[in-house]
Amino acid sequence: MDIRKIKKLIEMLQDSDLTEIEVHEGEESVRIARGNIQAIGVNPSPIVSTSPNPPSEKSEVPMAESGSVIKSPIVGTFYRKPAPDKPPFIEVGSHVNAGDVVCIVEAMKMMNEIKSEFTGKVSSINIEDGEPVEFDQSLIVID
Amino acid sequence: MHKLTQKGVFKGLNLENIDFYLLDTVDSTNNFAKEKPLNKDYVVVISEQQTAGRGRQGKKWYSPSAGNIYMTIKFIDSNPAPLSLVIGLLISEAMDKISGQKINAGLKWPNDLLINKKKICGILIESEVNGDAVEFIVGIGINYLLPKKESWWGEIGELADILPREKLINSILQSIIHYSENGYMDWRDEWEKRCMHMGIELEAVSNNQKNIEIGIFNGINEEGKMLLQTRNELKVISSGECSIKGIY
Repeated sequence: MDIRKIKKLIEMLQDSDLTEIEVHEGEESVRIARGNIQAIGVNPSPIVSTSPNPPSEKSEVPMAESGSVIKSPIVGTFYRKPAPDKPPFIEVGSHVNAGDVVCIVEAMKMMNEIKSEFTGKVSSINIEDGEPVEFDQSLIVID
Repeated sequence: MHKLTQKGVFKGLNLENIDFYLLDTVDSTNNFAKEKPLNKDYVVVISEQQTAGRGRQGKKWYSPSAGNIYMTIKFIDSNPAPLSLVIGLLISEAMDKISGQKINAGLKWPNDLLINKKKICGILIESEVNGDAVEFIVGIGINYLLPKKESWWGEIGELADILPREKLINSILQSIIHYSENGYMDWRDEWEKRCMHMGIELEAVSNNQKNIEIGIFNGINEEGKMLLQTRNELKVISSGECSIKGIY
């Protein structure tokens, strides 16, 4: 999709009260969403994600990222460690089994353990320890 | 110090549904409860002392053997209300019930309990996914006596006559179990009634301290999130602390 069109969409989003715009054009689609307007601590500038195709019904993984993505089930704060003086649950390159705890997302002082649904190697951790997260935000990618 | 008894703590409760542990000492009642499988409806752990009592994110919860409350209840909660806020509310109500409304323990979002502007109760809730079920581990610490303490810690030793420890533990267990089985329709109204900062200006501080929003506290939504009226908009805040002038 033409970058100018995307830029225009971003401007439209910024000038409106909308939080999200999604446009499909032939084989392509683009979704532009405002950063967390609810939780504190997030830069409210728009987040842009594009994908070459809308995800097919069979696909469980967003096309924008390769690997299996662990997403945040809630809005809250992301923690990589069980406690500040403890080692992180995982590092990039760690081997993870399905069912292993990989992080904690806190909301309203409830510490929610997040387990991996996938077995594999951690290829990226997309957020810093202690940072706010959005619902459905990509946290960790397992290859 | 009068030691806790099984008879007093579990009075009126159906022990066939509860896997219970009344201990002299333990590292942390939450850690202990986490290791116990949920073979019955509830796991309850109560200890006179914790050697490694903890709050959120590794904060220590000072836990001497001095007649304080250190307890954990683990169960599956299928109610739609936010457990974190409901637990604070239930404890505040239990205190009123036992003392005959003599105690006015105010709630500070999301679940701190304050008396005379000081924190007298700490709640640490952890969740674990086990197969299809989400198990909640609810840790509660209430200070009666602290041989040493930080300025913002309160204690309720002077209320021990109207708020006996054993009775309070029993009442908290009764009300959490009742909640788990029956839900709580009016939790939101009741929480707001007991909240000590409705309509007051406060600072909402993110957990990494990087972001501060100032606004008027406008209550909570049905998920228990804070509604903060800032100069420009009504913000919905789900994580972080609130800081109020003159209050811990």
